[in-house]
Parts: sequence; structure tokens; C-alpha cells
Amino acid sequence: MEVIKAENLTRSYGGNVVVDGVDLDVREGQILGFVGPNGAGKTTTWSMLTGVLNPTSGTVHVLGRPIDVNDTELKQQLGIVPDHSVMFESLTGEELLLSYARIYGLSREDAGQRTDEALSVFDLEDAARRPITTYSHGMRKKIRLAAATLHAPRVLFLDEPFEGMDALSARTVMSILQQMAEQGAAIFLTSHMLDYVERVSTHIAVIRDGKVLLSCSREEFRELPAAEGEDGAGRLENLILSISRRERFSRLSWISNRSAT
Amino acid sequence: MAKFTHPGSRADLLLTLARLALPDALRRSKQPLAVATFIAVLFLVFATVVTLGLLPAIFAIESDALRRNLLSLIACSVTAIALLAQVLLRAPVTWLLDLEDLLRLPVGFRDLYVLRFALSTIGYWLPVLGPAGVYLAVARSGGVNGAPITLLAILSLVWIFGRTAAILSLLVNRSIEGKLGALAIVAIIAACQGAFMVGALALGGELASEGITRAIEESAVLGGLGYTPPGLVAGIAHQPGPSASNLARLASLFAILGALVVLENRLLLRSYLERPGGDRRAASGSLPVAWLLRRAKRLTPTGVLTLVEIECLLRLRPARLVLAVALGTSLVLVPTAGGFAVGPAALLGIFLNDLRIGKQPPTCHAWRESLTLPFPVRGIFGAPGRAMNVVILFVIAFILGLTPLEWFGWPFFFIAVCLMLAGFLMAAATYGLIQLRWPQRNEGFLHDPDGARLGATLVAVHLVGLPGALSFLFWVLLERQLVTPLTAGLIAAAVLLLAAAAAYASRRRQRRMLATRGRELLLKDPSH
Repeated sequence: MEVIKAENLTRSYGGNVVVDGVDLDVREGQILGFVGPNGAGKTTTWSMLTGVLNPTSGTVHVLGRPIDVNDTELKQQLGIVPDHSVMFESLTGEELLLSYARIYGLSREDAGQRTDEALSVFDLEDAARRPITTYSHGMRKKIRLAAATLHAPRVLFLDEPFEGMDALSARTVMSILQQMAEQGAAIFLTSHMLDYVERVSTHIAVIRDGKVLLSCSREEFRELPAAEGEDGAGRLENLILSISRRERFSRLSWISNRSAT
Repeated sequence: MAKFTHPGSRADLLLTLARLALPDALRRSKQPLAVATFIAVLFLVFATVVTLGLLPAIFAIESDALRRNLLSLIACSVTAIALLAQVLLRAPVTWLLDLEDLLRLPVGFRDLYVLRFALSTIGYWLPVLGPAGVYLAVARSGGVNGAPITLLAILSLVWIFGRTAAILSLLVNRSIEGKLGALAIVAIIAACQGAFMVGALALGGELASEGITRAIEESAVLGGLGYTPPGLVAGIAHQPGPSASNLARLASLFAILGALVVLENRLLLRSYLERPGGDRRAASGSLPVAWLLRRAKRLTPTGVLTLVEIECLLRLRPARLVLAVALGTSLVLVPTAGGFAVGPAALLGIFLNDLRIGKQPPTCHAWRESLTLPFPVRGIFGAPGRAMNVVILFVIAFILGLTPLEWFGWPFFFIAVCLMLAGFLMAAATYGLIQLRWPQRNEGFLHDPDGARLGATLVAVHLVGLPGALSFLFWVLLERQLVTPLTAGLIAAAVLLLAAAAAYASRRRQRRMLATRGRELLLKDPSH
């Protein structure tokens, strides 16, 4: 079943087209890693898929319904983790999870139990009673992810979920995403952490200059002739490098010349 | 311009830093220079009027003890208010240089402290307390011999104030702000307002109260205040001149200053060098709303959002500032009975305009993100408004609780309640519409780029204030028996009905706008 479906999604600001005719299709049990260089249009696409940004043209359907911020029934089934969050940061981590659990309609017992478990799994027990404003970037990501998954959503949208996370936390997150996908959830994630994306995604889409250049399954992707690079970069990284317009790495002249002076 | 220092020298570095630090302090206070100047001029005018009205009146009092205690009371109250504004509200009463970034520069801690000390004597205290200082130094210093002592005493008080503010800022930043800030500021400013009221009541004229006058004269507490730094300065001003007691007072002031400098140095060193990182600025603890969230058995999702918004709101400095200022102002107005309705009406205007619509509250920053949660657009628009209403009701209840100075009778009570409710309804009607028509565009009166919105807001302010003004008018008319209570009551009820009709019409219009353009309105400004 198609869970997330975007057709001809376009967004422009003035004359600047940021996302240009993107088609996407994420089914039950799939994890779509949406990657691309800086400014490619990843977060804009993510925002349109989650309904917080109106497309200039094109449509988005989630769980067979057009995405609509007024459709609370639909939103009850979504979990959304933005890249930078500003909401409710004055609450402690525990308070945030309990509040989110109530917002998504969990009973008090379930809310308490899931909050404790999430804090434990995400290694946030020690920080549970501290305001989120005191959290590191990685901890904020984890508490947001915990909040977004408390209600076992059928669809999960993640914007840069691995940013600022240590290796253990990233592995935990990947494990949880895979567990959710196995249970039938559809997951859309954008990330610059290509190694993690390559490991966790069942499908990969590459965007550059607002256009999707490649969209395929992980197996298909691995058969692509994107060979290992000389510096040992992963397949996905090499692919991104190969499609980027810059053909050589830049150097700073004054750093190179330091030994000469 | 001639250069006084050698490039790269310590003096050159300090001068450069001083030139950078003051604009930086201004920028941190988030006020453009024009606004800071405007506020300073307002303060100066207001403080000059108050000084010339109040201080000569106090010095004209014949009773020695009353004069002395009133001076102490007012000096301590002004210092306490300034300290609270500085510490709990982060108002730039005096600009404290944050050394965190500067410590990364090649300059020593001690040099930076000197700079911090010097810069912290600059701030809004100058226009606020300056007129009183000039008056005391010129008119009440006891001649040429006494002037240096008075002047040094005032300067040392300024430095003590700066050091105390700095020390409290260092301590409060870490532990008190999030937990007690709002409550403390309300409680203590209320106490300070009470002190002013007591002073006014004791000064004479229509407000003279023999009981209060005697209580001030004989108060041991007020006598004790004479040994605090503001009280010591008041003591010198009370009997100026180069007497032994005044020299002892001056020595005490400098001893206190020295102790505070040592303490601040130690705290600063510990704060910057032993515990680097962001925890210094972090608030801790949580407000009772979080307790409610945890324990509430029946809460709708939007109810949860409302509570969380209140939590965010009360942690917000501008909100606390408005809360404190509004409460403090209302307390002065309440005993005049007419202020019974004027105060709350002003509160409504400020809250609903500046906090509900403004960019500052977290509610606005959270709007876009709120859309990802299972709330309808109408709920997101409404929740911050309800949060405001809860706060307003709390404030009004608090004010009513503090009103038993003189019972104004049931007829006026009925009239005032009707008109207060009418003001509330008019505020909800007008500001609700303005919020929808110009969402996320409020930059405050001085910066609002949208002329139409500014015009609408000004009209709304008058509509909201009108019932309050009517209340005051009826108070005067009833006192002079120019109108019967029945007539005044009927008019007040009619105003309430009209306001209710306006609020209903406004709500209908808001519903239509939300149904058709709700999301677009919320997302209108892509910078959010």
C-alpha cells in the first residue's frame, strides 16, 4: 500500500524553483533515505510532505488522504521529527514525553510506561528531569525522536535524525527505525549522514537542484557502478560526489603556503 | 584624532574593548539605540517630575523621624525595584559585560573585570535615579564641604547596586529564574508599590492618614532600613555635611563595596573558568503547570497544548515583565476605585496585543511546528489566547484580592464588573481579528512596519480602554451624585451587551477566516 505519495511536487520562492516536479512513493515497511547536497531541496520537500509548507503545485497523499494540517485523525498516525525544533523546550525531557503521549491520546498508564522505556532506550534517564534547553544537539534529537515514536505512528518523517548523535545513539535510532519498518511503518528521512542512510534505508532517493535524480531500492542502488572511491568513501557518498558539480576539492591558499613562509 | 595609546598595548586593547562592549551590551538588550534613547528620555522626564514633586515634599516634613524613615523607605524601594528589574527581568538597568567571549581574547581576567566594573555604571539607572542624585548633591548636600560626601555616597551606592546586580545575576541565572522568577517579581514589586502607596498616604493633603504616619515614625523595620546601603545614603541626605556620623556612613558604604567586589570576582572566576559551557545560562526547575500536566486525569489534547503554552509563557521574560509592571501599576490605581476597571482593561490590552500576537512568545515560534501535531488550525490559534486569558484571570483575581482598602459599595461594584467584562470582550473581539488579519507581524508600536495594523491596534486600544474610562467617569459622577446608581448600572449593562454582540460578530468572522485561510495565515511569514 502506498503510504506516502507525492506527485509533481514543486515549490518556488519568487522565480527560484527550490523543488521541481518531485515524485515520491513510500510504501508500508519501507524506509526512504532522501539525500542530496546542501541546498538541494531536501528539507523543503520534507516540509511539504508533512504539510507545514504549501507546495506551489503538485499533491501529497499520506495514508491515502491528502495531507492537511486540519486532518487531526491523519496526524494522529504520523510521527514528525524536524531538524531544528523550538517547541516546548522549557519542559524537561520527561515532561515533554508525557505531554506528547497525552497529545497523541495515550492513557496515563501507557504514557508513563512508554516514557520510562523511551528514556531508557535513548539513554536519557539521567537528563530526564532537566529542561530541554540544557540538552546537547544530539540529546535534543533523541528526545524529539522518542516523542515522535511514543504513539507507534504508521508514518514517520525525520529531518536529519542522526545529526549530532554519537555512534551508539545512531545505532539505537537505526535499530528502532528498522523495528518500526518491520511492523509496517513507512519512514521518510533526510540526512547528510550518508553512511547511516545507506545502512538503514530500504530505498534511496537522491535530489539535486530540486530534482530527483535517482530513486531505487537499496539492492538496485548497490548494483549501480558507483565504485569505492580512492579515499574509502561509501557508495552513497561517492554517488553524491559524482553528481555534484564540483570536480575538485578546494584548498585554502594561506594554509597551503604556511610551510613556505 | 590623536591616538592616546600604543597599538597592541594593554590600554589600547582595553579602550578598543570598551568601544566594542557598549554597543554589544546594547545589542544584547535587543533594543536599537533610538529606542534606548527614547526610553531613557522618558525615564528622565518621569524621574525629574517625581523627584521634584516627591523629595522637596519629604524634606518639608517637620517630624524628624518621619522624614528620615520615609527617605530610607523610598531609597530602599527604588533600589529594590531596580535590582529586581535587572536581575529577574534582565532589563538593562545597568549593562553588565559578559566576559565569556572576551575571555577568548588575549586579555587578562583582571583587566576585563575593570572594564565590566566601569561599564556597569552605565545604564537606565542614570535617567531613573540621576535627577534624585543631582537634587541631593546640589540642593541637599549641606554646602561645599558636604557635597563631596553626598556625591561619593551616591556614587558608592551606584557601584554597590552594580555589584549586587552582577552577583545576583550570576547566582540567579543558574538556580532561581525558572522556578521563582515570575512569583518573586510579582510579590516584591507589589511590596515596593505598597511602600510607595504608604509614603504617599503619609505625605499629607487629601491622602493624609494619621495612623500610617505614626506607624512610619515608630517603625523599627524602617529604622533598620537606615543601615542598608540605600538607607545610609538617605541618612547622609537627611543630615548632610562633613560630620563624623556621615564619614562613618561613607566608610561603611565603601567597605560594603569592597566586599562585593571580592565576592563578584570569585563568582566570576568560578563561573567562567571552572564551569565553562552553557549551563550558566540555563534555567532549571519547572513551574506548577508541569506538575498539572503530569497529574491531570482529564485533559483534552488542546488543553494540554494550552497548559504547555502557559508554561512556555511564564518562563518568558517579556511576559513576566508585563505581568509585573501591570500588576504594580494596577495596585496603585486600585485604591482610587476608578482604577478598579482601568487597570484590568490596560492589562487586557497589553496581554492580548503584545503577547498573543507578538513574535516574542514561544507560541508563535511553535506555530509551524504545532501544525505537525494532531491539532486543528483553530485549536492552535486559540490555545495561546486561552493561555493569555488564564493569566489575565489570575491577575484580575489577584488585584481584586488586594482591594479591601475601602469598599466602594455594591452599585459601583456592579458597574465596574460590567465594564471590566465589556473591556475583556472588546479586547477579545478586536485583538482576535487583528491577530488573524495580520498574523506574526507585530513588532511593537515603535517598529511596526504595517501602518494598517498599527492603526487597527490603536483603535482597539481605545475600544478596550473605553469601558475602563467609563468606569472612572461613573465613579466620579456617583460620588458627586450627578447620576443615580440605577442609571449608571443600566448604561454599564448596555455597554456590556454591546461588547458581547461585538465579540460574537468578531468570533463569527474569525471562524470564517480560519476555515478558508487558516493554514496560509499561520504560514504567512516563512521566517518562522
